[in-house]
Amino acid sequence: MTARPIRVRLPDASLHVGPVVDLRGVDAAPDAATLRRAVVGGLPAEPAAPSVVRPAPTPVHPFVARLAAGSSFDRRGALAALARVRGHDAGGALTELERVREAIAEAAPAESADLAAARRRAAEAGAETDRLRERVATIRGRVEAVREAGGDADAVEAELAAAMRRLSEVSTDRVAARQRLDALETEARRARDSREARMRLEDRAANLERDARRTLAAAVYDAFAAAVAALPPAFDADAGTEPGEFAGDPLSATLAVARAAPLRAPVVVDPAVVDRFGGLTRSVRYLSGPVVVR
Amino acid sequence: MLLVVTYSRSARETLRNVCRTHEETVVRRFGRAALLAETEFGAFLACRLREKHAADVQVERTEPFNEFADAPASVRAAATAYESRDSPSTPYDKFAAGTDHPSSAAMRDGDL
Repeated sequence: MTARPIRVRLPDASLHVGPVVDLRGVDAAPDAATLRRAVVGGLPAEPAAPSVVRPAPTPVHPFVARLAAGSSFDRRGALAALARVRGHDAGGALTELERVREAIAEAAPAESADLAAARRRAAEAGAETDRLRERVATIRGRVEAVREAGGDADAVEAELAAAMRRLSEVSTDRVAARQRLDALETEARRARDSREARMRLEDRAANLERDARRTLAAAVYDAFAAAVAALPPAFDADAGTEPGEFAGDPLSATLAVARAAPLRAPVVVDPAVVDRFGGLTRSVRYLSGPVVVR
Repeated sequence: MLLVVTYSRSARETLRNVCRTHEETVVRRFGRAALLAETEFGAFLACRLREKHAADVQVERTEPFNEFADAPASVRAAATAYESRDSPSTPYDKFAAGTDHPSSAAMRDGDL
């Protein structure tokens, strides 16, 4: 397959065109992460960023856009994306997943915003009651003291009566606040059954997603294994016969997925990877797609 | 202690992370629930979970159950007698029938 030419415009306005753009030794070239962003994201996000004119990338592209040692790689996710790009689908699992997702949306329990307010109200009423109770005790002590000293206790007694009235009001509030909180908590406890059910659905959805990924990954595993086998010995990787059996570094897996994928947009290849292939020609032949070396 | 129970995958995930990071405050972990130490830091963690996941997090304050203070003597006696019953397959209500022990229905209706 002959790769369609791509155009890379660097921040210094220089233009590099070709199925292969070798930016080794190009001073104006931005770092690989910036180039990767330009490849995956398309139009430059800021004026100083490079722009890469290329055919639209496939959904596999985000997994393989950067080819360098030491990057992590979501192998199953990438294989699932590859399978979708190659026209496989996860069959019944997706229909079921859709159904479960709808059920989750419907199961969304009503939020009880009142509960926090009720907790605060009950706590405040409790604190206020405690404060007034102490105040009543203090004033009562003063009444006693004035009486024992043979003084006129009328003023203090009036103060005591006022404090006791206030305490009685606040105690009533406290009981009401407590009851309201109890009622809301009972309601919340009942609502937890539906939250519980929703969580089971969420778990089910996660399992289905995993199954779908597994099915998809298995569907392209032969193609992936062939791409692993086609790697030069320097990569020392072995795919085995199913997704769990891959033995090798993440870079080897990334390269193999890139090879098995229809690469429309370019991949940004680290010069060290090119060296490991034994040169640019071999790297490009392996990947059979547009390449930017950086 | 503070009992934290989660009711969504994301809340469960947060609890898992919290438990992993703050082992010293986690008294016990049970999958989607955990017992936190009754310290200000335990409260801090519980508040954070509640802040982030609202009603998907249930927080209860627990205390040890003292059956001699918290349960009526009739209930304690019934439990003791039932656990030393002769036939292990006898259901409780059949065991209690015709004795002074309370029925399970009566106990269900009786608040502590």
